[in-house]
Amino acid sequence: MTARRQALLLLVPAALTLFVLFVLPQALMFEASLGRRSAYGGIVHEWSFANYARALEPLYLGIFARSVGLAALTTGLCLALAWPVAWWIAFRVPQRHKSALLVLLVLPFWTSFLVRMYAWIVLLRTEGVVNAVGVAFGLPAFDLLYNDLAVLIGQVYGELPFMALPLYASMEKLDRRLLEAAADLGASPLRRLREIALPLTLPGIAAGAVLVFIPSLGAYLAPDLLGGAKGVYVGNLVQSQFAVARDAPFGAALSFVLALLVFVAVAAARRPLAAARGL
Amino acid sequence: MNRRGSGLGLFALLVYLFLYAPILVLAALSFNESRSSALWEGFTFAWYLKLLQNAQVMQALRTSLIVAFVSTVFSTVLGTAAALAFHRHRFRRGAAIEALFALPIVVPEIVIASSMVLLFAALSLRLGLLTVVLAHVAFSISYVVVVVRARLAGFDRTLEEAAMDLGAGPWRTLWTVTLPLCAPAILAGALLAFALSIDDYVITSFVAGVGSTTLPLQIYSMVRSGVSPEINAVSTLLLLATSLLLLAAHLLERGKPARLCAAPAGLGLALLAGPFLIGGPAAAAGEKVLNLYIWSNYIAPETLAKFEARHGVKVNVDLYDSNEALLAKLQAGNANYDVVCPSNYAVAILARQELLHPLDLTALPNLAHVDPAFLDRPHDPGNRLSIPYFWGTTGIAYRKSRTGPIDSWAALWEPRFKGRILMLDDARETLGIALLLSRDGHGVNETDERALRQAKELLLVQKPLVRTYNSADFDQVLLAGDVWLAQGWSGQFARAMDEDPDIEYVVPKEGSSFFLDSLAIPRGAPNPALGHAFLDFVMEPEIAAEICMTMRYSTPNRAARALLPAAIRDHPAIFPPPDVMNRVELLEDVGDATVLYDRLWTEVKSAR
Amino acid sequence: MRGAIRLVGVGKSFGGTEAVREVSLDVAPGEFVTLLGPSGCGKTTLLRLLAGFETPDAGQVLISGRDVAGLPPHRRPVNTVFQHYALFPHQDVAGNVAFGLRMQKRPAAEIRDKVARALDLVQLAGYEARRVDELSGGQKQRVALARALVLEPEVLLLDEPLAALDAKLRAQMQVELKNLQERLQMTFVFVTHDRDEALIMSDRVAVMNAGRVEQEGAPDALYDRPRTRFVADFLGVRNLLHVRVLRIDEGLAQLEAGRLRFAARDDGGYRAGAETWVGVRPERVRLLAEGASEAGAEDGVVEDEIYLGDRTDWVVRAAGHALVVAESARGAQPRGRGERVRLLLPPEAVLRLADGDGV
Ligand SMILES: Nc1ncnc2c1ncn2[C@@H]1O[C@H](COP(=O)(O)OP(=O)(O)O)[C@@H](O)[C@H]1O
Ligand SMILES: [Mg+2]
Repeated sequence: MTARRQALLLLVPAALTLFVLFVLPQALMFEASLGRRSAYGGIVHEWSFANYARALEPLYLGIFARSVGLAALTTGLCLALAWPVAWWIAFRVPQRHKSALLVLLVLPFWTSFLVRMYAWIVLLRTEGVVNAVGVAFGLPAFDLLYNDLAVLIGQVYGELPFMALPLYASMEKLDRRLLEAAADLGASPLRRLREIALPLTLPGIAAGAVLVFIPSLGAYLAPDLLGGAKGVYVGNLVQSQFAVARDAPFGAALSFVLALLVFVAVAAARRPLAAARGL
Repeated sequence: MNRRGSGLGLFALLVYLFLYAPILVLAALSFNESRSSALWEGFTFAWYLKLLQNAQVMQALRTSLIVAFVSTVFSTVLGTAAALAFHRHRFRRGAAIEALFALPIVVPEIVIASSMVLLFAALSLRLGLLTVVLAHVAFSISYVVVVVRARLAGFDRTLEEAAMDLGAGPWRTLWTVTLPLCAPAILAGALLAFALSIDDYVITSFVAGVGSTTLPLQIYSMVRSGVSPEINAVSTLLLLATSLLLLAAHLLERGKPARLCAAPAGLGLALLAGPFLIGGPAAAAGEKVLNLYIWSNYIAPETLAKFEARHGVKVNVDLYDSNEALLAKLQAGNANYDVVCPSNYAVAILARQELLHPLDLTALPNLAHVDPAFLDRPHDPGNRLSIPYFWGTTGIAYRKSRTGPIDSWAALWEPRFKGRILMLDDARETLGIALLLSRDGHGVNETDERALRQAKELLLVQKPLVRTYNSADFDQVLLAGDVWLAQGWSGQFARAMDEDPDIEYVVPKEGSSFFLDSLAIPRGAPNPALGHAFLDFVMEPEIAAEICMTMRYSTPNRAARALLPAAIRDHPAIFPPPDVMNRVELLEDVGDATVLYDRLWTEVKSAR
Repeated sequence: MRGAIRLVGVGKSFGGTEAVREVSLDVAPGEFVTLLGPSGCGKTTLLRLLAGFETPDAGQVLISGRDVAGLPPHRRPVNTVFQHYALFPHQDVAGNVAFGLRMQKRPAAEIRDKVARALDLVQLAGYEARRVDELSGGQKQRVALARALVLEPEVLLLDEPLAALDAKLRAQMQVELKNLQERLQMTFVFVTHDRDEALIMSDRVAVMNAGRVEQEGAPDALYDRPRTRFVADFLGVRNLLHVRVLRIDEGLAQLEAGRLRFAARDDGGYRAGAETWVGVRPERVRLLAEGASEAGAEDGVVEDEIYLGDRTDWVVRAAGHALVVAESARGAQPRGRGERVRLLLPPEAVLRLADGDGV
């Protein structure tokens, strides 16, 4: 009985904080999303689903689709880059170097995201570092900046550690003897990857995918700064409703549709997670 | 085996290079003698010295560190406690509680940010340090919980049972066994919370208020002049400090003697404490404070220092990038600023909502120096609520060696400049010039839907030629050579022209828009008398001239203009000739058409 | 009553599994009682009920005559030596041993003194400042023991404390632990799945099966007279036969298992015509040469030989059953596989068993 009471006492402060600062505002948001923009940008509290109807117009659906696409691409690329690195750290690197390499993975994140994005601009711009190196090797200068590729680079850059760390955590738990046993039973390296390594790191992959996919859905700085604002993503759209059009009710409705998308994504990630636990 | 191993290692090396390339660039640029990031001009420590003298950046750094420190302490304590609770007990409503703790991780930042603003307004909580810290605590807790729980998952429960068996109660067990054993995880959680806090821009920008401009907010508002080497310097220092702290933690974990860890830890902490030692306390107790909320790059620190010296007060500056941000803060009714700087149409909106404090004109004798052309305008008849501060035009700046002379907006539709054109990322400005080009006599304040749709079509036609939409550092993009023609505002271009004589500015013959930014005192300002003093101060001819000299926007102050050197007084971008003034139109609020403007602009931007 | 334990109808289940069912057990002060049973039979759970880590669903737990219901672990006058020792990795040897004393806020001098004596007791004097992960298995075991003993508990609970040790160290520790217990006159509740360990060390053994105590008693009594099929099997009665009672005469029950016929001493439990289980002790069966004409002997063929050093087990097929016969090394004669022998089952070798396998 004391254990339960103690657990409750420990839980309540954090749970209360989150309830007040996350759940209540969402309720306010929902109420606002049913309202209408006033002439001065305030909220007229009415109850209608007009904003949701508007959010489902083809223009905005297209923007949602584009965001999902960006998030999916970001997640895929992060996985492709982070998996081998995590594997390398988990299995190829001497024990004493591991934690240093992990720290190095997250260290860049102690500088402002904005500053890092500007550093990418310096790297990618027409007369930037990458082109300077290319030109030195006799290549022509490319327009690397202000396109979808630059947005993708920025997003992947920003989210990579959130993929790498859960992957590493799941690999760390992987029993090396299972791989040896598979090899002993005649599995080629590729088969070992497919039959053992990937299925057993599935929880890490799912966790990383969730951690990368979700923030990418709401991305708005990379599209603005690296993409030259030539494509609108949900993040930009929501931001501009609050900060430019002063149409908070519509912004709120968009936020809710976005949150819904996120829950669908998380639910989708639950299956492989649950399946992996069942192994 | 070996070959495969080294292939993997090479791949990992490339990924690390990818991660560190931007970091190396910014560290290198912090030692670059040139202000521009476009070229390397030699090694210097000057930016680090300038950083120490940049009161605003130092203040923002202090604010960031305070916010990060306080929110890290709270979120680590709360998060660790919650993680322990999960570890100790299987709760009956487990799924609901798990979902609650997953919220901050799965809800997109922008949604969190906008909903928190609604909450703080509903609670009529004054936006400021408190709200920023609350928000930061809230979004970091879950990350701490995740990290500590991961550690506890592998925890040998019999250790706790052994402690209880040996007579330790539940709390003693927690304190003497569980906590010390998950100390590394708690530290990791705290570091993560710190990193999240110090880097957050999106949420902070929504919930910040008086005196809570954090470093990312400061940086974002400084990008109007490009990321300056000072920002690179402060980022480099911050990175160095955290690297040292992490190194110390790493050594400690590897069981190295404390003596060895003390050096990096001490050095790192000293670097973090530096801003507090150098800058001194923000405001002594009892000292009067003027809270100023103004556009970034609109007033120089030296000018503010003069006002502080003269009145024995401290000026607190917070920055914004759009009238809408200002309106949102004032409409929420919990901002507490003494002086703000709305554009003309924002003044009109604020006036109608009675959010401005009526001015006592007898306290503003220097108003006499202002050009009557800028007084008594429709947005504020009789200047009962605001005084003009700066004005400027929208025009095209171009690299003349590449483009030849330009005199028409049509140049921005010329295929030969494909990929070399920059447009403002602003519905009113872009649709505005499209309206001017339509030659049906539409002005920049058109609200007719058909006319606006036609204007949109014109922008769609233009889109394939546009390199980027940008209304923040458009001058820098032009300077860096990424584009040859840029639509933008006069003041920033005037500064660009100083740096590069190849750049020319024109207000095209079809006409254009101009803006008039005013200073006003919000209703409910803590110190309206000091606000009046500040308004009168900036209208002193010498001061107004100094402000114009440093910021390069046009001053409406006639007496000040006379004091300016000829180069400035007759600068085509700063003080355009009368014929130009006849073809520019003031941007007004378009009321409900704002939504239409936004929608059309969204259509343009999301078109392929 | 100090150090006495009484369990009355104690039960505990986890979800669907009944880990402990209706266990009643009395332990006298200063007694060394062993809970013996295969893995998963509920030994650890029973121990944790005593220590207070679990609360019983049913029944009563009394320690030193006091009902301990609702008393949390740290208030109970018992201490535990954990299965995998559970030494605190962030504290050295002295820190581990002193832990409980510090919880009691004893003066530093007293703590130092007691820790030294406790370490002395387990022959680890001078190891105070060692990190626990630098200790061998046996040393860890001793630290765990010292850590529990230093608090002078009324009852010491030991959960398979020797399971992780090698055979030699284990035999040595069995003796040491037993001596220690006798010297301290402390109640020990000892858990093991090892029959020999239980028989060597204990004053009394409780054999557990599927959450129940199937039989308890002094080691020799238990060994001589297992009462259920399960207990007999667990104590090494290898030949278990399902038999029909043909008739009872002159104090002997005549039994039949398939074609095999033999007699058992009638203990009053046999009923003519009924079926029951019996066990036949391998070491009491006699092997005779082929052609020996002892009354009641059966013909058999040697199928297998299991050499065990001090004895040899023969597997002999007789009348359709494979029976194990043990011969001590001294009496054994060389026999080859397929050799014909005769087999004699004396009535004293046959034990009547209840069908208590719990399934
Ligand atoms: N905390 C628990 N949750 C669920 N089942 C448990 C738990 N502890 C023990 N059991 C189950 O109870 C039974 C008895 O376990 P235990 O007392 O550990 O056995 P022993 O120590 O004899 O090997 C086993 O079937 C085990 O799976
Ligand atoms: Mg056990």
